[in-house]
Amino acid sequence: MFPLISLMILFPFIGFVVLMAMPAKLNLNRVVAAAFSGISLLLGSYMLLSFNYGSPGMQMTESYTWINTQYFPVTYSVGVDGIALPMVFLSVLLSFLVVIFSWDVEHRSNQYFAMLMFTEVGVLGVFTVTNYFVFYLFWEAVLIPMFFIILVWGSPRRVYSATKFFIYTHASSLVMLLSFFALYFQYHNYVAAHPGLHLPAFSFSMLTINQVSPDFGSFFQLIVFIGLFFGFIVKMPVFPFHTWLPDAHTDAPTGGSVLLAGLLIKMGSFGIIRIAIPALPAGAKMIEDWIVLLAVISILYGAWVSMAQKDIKRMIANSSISHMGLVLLAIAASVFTLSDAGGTWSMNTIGISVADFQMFAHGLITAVLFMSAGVIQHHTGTRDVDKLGGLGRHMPALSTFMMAGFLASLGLPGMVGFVAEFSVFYVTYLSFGVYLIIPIVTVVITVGYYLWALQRSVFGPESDKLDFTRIHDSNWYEIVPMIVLVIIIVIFGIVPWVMFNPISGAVSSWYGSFIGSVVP
Amino acid sequence: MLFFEFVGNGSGIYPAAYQQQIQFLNLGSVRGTAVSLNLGIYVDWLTVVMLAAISFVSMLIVIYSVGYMHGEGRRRKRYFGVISMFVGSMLGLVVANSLLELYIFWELVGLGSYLLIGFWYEKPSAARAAKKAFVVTRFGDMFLLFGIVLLLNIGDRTLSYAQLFSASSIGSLNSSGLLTIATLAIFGGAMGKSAQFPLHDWLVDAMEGPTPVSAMIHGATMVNAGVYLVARMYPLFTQTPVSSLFVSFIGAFSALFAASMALGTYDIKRVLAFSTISQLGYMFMALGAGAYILGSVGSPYVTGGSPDYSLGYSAGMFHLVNQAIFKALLFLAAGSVMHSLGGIQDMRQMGALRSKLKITSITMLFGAFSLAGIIPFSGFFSKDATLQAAFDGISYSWIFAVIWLFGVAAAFLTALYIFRLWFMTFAGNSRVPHDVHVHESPPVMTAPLVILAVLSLVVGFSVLGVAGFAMAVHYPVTFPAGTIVSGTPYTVFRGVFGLLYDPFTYLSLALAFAGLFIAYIIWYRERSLDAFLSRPVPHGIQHVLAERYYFPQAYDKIGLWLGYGIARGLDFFDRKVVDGFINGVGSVFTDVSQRIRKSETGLVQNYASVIVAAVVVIVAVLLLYHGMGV
Repeated sequence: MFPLISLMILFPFIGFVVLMAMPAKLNLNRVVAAAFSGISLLLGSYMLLSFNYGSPGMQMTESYTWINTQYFPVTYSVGVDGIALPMVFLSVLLSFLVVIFSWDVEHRSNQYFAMLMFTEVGVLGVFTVTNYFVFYLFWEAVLIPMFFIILVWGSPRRVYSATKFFIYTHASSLVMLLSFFALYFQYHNYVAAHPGLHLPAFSFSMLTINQVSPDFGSFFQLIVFIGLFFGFIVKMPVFPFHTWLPDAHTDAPTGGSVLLAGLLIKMGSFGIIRIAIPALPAGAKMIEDWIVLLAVISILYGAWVSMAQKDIKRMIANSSISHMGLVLLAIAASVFTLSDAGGTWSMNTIGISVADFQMFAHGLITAVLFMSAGVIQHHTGTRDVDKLGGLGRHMPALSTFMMAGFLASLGLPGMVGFVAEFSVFYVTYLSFGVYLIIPIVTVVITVGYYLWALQRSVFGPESDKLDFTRIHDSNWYEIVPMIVLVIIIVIFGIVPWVMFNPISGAVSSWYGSFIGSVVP
Repeated sequence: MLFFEFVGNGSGIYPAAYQQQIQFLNLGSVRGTAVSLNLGIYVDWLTVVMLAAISFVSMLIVIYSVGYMHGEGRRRKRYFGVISMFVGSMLGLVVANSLLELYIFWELVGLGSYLLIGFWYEKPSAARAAKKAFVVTRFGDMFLLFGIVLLLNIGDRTLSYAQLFSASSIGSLNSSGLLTIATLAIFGGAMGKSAQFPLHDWLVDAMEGPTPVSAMIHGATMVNAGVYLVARMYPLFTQTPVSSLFVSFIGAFSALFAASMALGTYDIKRVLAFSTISQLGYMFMALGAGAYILGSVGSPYVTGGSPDYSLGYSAGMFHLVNQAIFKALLFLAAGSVMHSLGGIQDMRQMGALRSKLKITSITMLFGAFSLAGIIPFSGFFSKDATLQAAFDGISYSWIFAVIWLFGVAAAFLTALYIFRLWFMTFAGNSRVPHDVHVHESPPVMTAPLVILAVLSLVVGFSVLGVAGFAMAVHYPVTFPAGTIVSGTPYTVFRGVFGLLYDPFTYLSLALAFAGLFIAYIIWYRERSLDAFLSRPVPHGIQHVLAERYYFPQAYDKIGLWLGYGIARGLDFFDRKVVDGFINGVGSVFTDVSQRIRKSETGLVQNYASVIVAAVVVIVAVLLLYHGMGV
């Protein structure tokens, strides 16, 4: 079997090693980085084409024993199903586009591109592995390059932001690791007590542990679920654990922000979807009210706070909180349908599928937004809307695609954001009825802050605080990634089922194999 | 456009709707019912009439734009591109076969209006007006989206018209008990798009766009979407009397409210903008009244009995078509006036233009006659029918008496304000500044005017009034056999002159002529109003009208407070409280580590004493454990 996924992870890693060893020559470094991430993108596209859309299970699986001791067996096993497919595609796509977008990063370019490569390795690993321990390794591996990207190439407040990002998310992943070990040991106890199951005595495999973990005691499930959930929602992020995000996004260089918002925060919600809920449904069920409360607060709070921002990038960062709140709301809608019918769980998983689709949509859209903020910063020297104004005439290409991104993000039909938003509202009604009227208010607030920002930066008379003789439109390497993304956004806005059907098939298969009876 | 029209006409001949669909999204299933959303095309007579009106009027406006936008240079590319998208979205909206698809195009129409109103985006007022149009209509769309999600959930889990309006689906929608909320929510969307009170204010500011754009938005496309939506959802509105009454009331109130404001402004385009709100109000009034009557007297799904047509439905749609024609005509004529005056919009700087702008003044007079509802112009036939529909409702609910009075009063004001506009612009003494060279517009602009003027004259009687129109565009009603229907909730075909036997025809005609006459006295003979207006009460009224009842200020205040004020508060909370707490936790750790660092003194004696102390403690603990038998 052709090790597609492993190669996809390996090539950026080789790229990382090669780049670290190379001198800091921009001309050379950027080509090398583009080549290695380009190979991954090609492999990812090949995966998209060769994926068997009729089969909902794990595909292209690979499994190699890594640590072979009796008490601590660790297997490197990867695979991709409909849940992971959009995320994997997003990862290889955004990583490549970020390399193109960063075509002119002169400062320590070899290390910069190396860090981008390393981030890609970590993110791809998180989305594909099916082993708890390796999952944790990749999860932590993402943290390090991103820390350095913010610390070295960020804006003036970067030291504070990078430190905050690192400590905050690292602390949360330690809680997550503890929860993994709790699962590991509880699994061992459970298997020892039920010898008839014929399962290995020790295992870190999600596929093995999750088979029995829904039957663990409810107190254990509650505690461990809270641990996992905490680890994941800090990354997402969800109110009140979100404050690292505006700082980190604002102070990161544009490439870093794109990866951070497009991929890194998806790891959190991906973890909830892939691990926390199928492994511990009783735990999720017990705190369902809190989940939905946090989701609704995040949606409205994030949107409202965005409106107060004068820094375009900070506004976009805060809007991510709101949109990731929608992801959590969709998840919560599914958790509400969980019911324990005499030992076996039943669930309507459509909310989970919708959440995954919203993650995909948000990843595509937010990348365009951060890129446009980056171009504005790069060409005008400021992102403060009070100083901007009248960019439309001088930067028509940027303005067009920035507006396209803003419109996609506010849920304009014909683009992928609308489909995701509409589905989220559908599942919300399914579980919560007419309370939908509360979170749906976000569509108005969102329009408010995006259009207000457009009015103040792109439209209006030329600002007297800018020197328009020196401002020219975006360079090719800045606009091409935005165009590519907008095209993909429109395609999936018109034929969303192409991505949604495999997701919903895979979600019901994955949940069905652990939880019990599942309504797709 | 023409292609669509051919498709529309070709298939409209066949009563069977033209159906074809492609997959959009499958949202799983609920209790065994698969929830699949598809996109497709649905054509019936309602669609055909909308297609014809939209595409024909839009075509004339685009031709006119060639002349009007002549001086814009390279930006014309953007103008014509966006306007094509705009018209295309509107056509998509009417051929959609499901509510979801309608919503998709609905929002794209909103985007088109945003881009067109903000066409001169370097003007801050234009950028602000564009934002206002989008945000206010989006506020209505929020309710529409809510209504759509509601309908998807409470019925047979479908949004396609064919299935949504089937008898079984209507039955389950009714039994859910939420249909009234759903229809009210849907009307919320229509209120935003069609600028009905209290979401009317954006349409007035939308005058910041080029004049052909105003003609497009007001005449052919955007604002009609709301009326079309209510007409399309008629099977649901006929089930919910509360919603229908609400629709009718809001419509009648908007008709009167906007007509009164039209008297207070001197901006030629704004008068027409208020007039649009008012005329759309008539359509909603008729549609709501028709639905209410149908809901009260019979179910359209009972088989057997005699087939009849809802007057309110046909009257509302007929008025939509006529409004599309005469409102486009009025706007284009106003644009022609502005073009010839070099952009002056204030009627106080016009006057006596009749001799210099012959074609414009005559065509605009045709539009004014039609708008005021003077026989035999098309507006007469349709406006009279809308009032008739409201009057019929009195038999079923006394509130329709109020609604009808609103409508009648608005009819009088309509004649008053539109002839005020005409006389101030074209008659009396010239108040044009001396440095302006007045010239008639080029033929590419006047030709559409002439065509529209002819249409506004002939469309009314050539289809034999609303009765003839209803032969094609109607909402079929089947009463249970033996039902005795009081009043006339359906059209009775009495020939084109049947109207002449109706006393109310003369009432509305008399009101229209009264309005015309008063306007003639005041603004043609120029009997001075100054003395009258300088008295405190009339002056106050005039001021309130000119300030649009202070709605814009109130909305700005509310918007600023709700949006930015709360946002600032939350932002402060975010930075100081939530983030402050996190930073506090961080600094506690730093603090503690600072203290611990102080214990690292480097003196061996200190370390040794700590070690000794620790050993003592450990031994003590172990002994204790041992002693307790652990």
